[in-house]
Amino acid sequence: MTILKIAYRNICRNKRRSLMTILAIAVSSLSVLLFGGNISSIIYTLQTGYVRSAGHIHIYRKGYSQYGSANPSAYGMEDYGRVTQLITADPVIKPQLRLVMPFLAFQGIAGNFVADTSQSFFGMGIVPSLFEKLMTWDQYHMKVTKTDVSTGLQDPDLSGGVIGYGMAERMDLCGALKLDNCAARPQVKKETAASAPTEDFSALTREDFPEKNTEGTGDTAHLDLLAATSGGAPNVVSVSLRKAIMMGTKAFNDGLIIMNLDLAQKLISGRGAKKVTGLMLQLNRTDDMEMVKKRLQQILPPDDYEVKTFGEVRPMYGQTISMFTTIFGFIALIMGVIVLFTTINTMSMSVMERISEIGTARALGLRRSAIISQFVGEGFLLGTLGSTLGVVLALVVSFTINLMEVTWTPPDYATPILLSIHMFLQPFFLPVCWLGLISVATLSSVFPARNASRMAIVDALRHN
Amino acid sequence: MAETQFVVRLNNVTKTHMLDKVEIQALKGITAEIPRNKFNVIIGQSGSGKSTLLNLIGCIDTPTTGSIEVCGKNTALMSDDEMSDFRARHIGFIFQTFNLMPVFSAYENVEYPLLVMKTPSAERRERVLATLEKVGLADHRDKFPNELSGGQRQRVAIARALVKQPELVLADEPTANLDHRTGTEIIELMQKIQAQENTTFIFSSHDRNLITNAEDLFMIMDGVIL
Ligand SMILES: Nc1ncnc2c1ncn2[C@@H]1O[C@H](COP(=O)(O)OP(=O)(O)O)[C@@H](O)[C@H]1O
Ligand SMILES: [Mg+2]
Repeated sequence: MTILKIAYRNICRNKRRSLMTILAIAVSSLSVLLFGGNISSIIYTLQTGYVRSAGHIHIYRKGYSQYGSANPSAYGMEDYGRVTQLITADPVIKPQLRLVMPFLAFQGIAGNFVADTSQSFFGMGIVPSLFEKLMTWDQYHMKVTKTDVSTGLQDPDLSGGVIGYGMAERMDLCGALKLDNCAARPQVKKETAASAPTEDFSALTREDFPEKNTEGTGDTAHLDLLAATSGGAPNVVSVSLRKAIMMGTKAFNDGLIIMNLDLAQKLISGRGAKKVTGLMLQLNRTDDMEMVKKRLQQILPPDDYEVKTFGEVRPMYGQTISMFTTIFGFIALIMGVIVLFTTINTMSMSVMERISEIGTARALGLRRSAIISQFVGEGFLLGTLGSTLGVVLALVVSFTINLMEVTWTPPDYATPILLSIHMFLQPFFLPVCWLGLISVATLSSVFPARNASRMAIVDALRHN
Repeated sequence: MAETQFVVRLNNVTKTHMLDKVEIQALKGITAEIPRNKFNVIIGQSGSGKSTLLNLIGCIDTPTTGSIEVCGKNTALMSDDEMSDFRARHIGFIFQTFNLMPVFSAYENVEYPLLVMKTPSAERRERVLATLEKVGLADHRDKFPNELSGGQRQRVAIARALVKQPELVLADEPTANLDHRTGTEIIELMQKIQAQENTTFIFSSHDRNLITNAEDLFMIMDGVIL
């Protein structure tokens, strides 16, 4: 007969109490696992979202991150073709690299003069084929939203672009883009001819790019984009909108235009040398990010380039992780304390009920340590049963929730994302939680067991 | 091995219990020698100090003053673990309230002391079955204590005390919780086994009529052996 077999029989003596203890441990384990699994899924969803839209690592001209946003063209990168070649040829980076894409980020004013609407926007010039690939990154096999988005842009479509859904609504492009569920703008009375500007800035387009003249009109949705060129002069191009898509954050959904890099360069570089804001690197695995960053810093002259990971570009990622980790730590602590007290209570009661048995066992020759082992064995068994039950319940619940595809909208988000629970993304999470609660239950039975073993044998025997 | 004639020697042993700051002297200087391989009987009224004496002999309690030698060992010098091991090897207990482990079957209760001594399993099985046979419970070996009568429980307890073939068996009023007829049967069984096994029994009772043919009788009164 092993300690565990004896422990099992003793546990069965007071089935109700043991069951309550096991359930308390199971519920603690369940909540830690579900909460942790949800947090880890939020963190990996966020990461997946960032990596799908902006890659892992950005390379900028030195000084861009500090001064660049106010003067993007001055900190633009002209030799991006050469740098791309350098990166793709590097034997260390190459195996980890999924893609490198030049991009041009800028701001300007967009106007839809058919509807008399205009607003400021964020512009993002991308290479459509690479951008499509960027958006399919899926290291963690995450389903972020119910419907997956694609820009549908083609490399040869030099003036093509897509727009955020919210911006399309505001710019009164619902009809032109054939959008469903579009908040149709109430018709505003046209201003009188006297107060209306005699000419809109789309006239500039005709001067600069006369071949685009007819394209923007008619059935196709298009916007005229105004921005400052590298030289500081205003410049205008027309973007042909192929689609409106739901962008993740509200700011992007209401103001982002993604377009062919060629068009963005026409707008920003004008007739000057074509520049980009930087290069976006997407790796196969996020785990290699720091390594690749170090390597990039070795092969690129540090006086000319800066290398930033997505966490550095968007500090909110790290902040979100530490916030959730803190909350999780707190919850795990509380659950651990609950298990601790529940087990101490249960084991103290078992000890009290069995004092004369303890005396008998000691008289028969059991050492103190053997008495402790016996009770610790019971705590271990309760902990194992409870913790394992918790894992099973958590698997069932998380599987069900993932299957139900419940969605929620994170703060500042435009689109709801899937509420999912992933307990296997961090390989040690589940085993550590499982073993952690078992250890707590086991350890908490040590105190009552120690007290029991220290009783005077004659007193224990008289205890009937 | 040249064994001495006495299995227990008590030299001026006293024991004082503390009960709510009141000192109760249960044993008042006992000096005695208990012969080996006999069925020794201690008779004394309730409260005369029988249990206190047997607990000291059984090494589950320590004397206030005086010294005790059990199976040739001075018990004062042993650590708690040594004491436990000593009990496991040399002393069998039979209690007034049977004290079987409720979660063990009759078989497992008898097996328990052998597990404590880490006896190999084949030998364990053989000895448990043989001992159960001796106390006449071979057919009840899978029953649990709550399925057995008082007499049957005490037989299991006797088997448990004897299975490890101890030098000394202590039976502190083992019949006090049994009816007269069953009590007599139990005493007869113990006497029979004592003779067969050639071991030393120390049996205590408050009822002198229970024992008619005791070889070695000690009378105890108010903590003094008469
Ligand atoms: N643990 C104890 N604490 C206090 N008093 C005790 C204790 N054990 C025994 N006594 C007292 O010591 C005396 C002898 O008791 P005991 O050895 O149990 O006698 P017996 O077994 O002959 O009835 C009694 O007066 C009893 O009340
Ligand atoms: Mg007594």
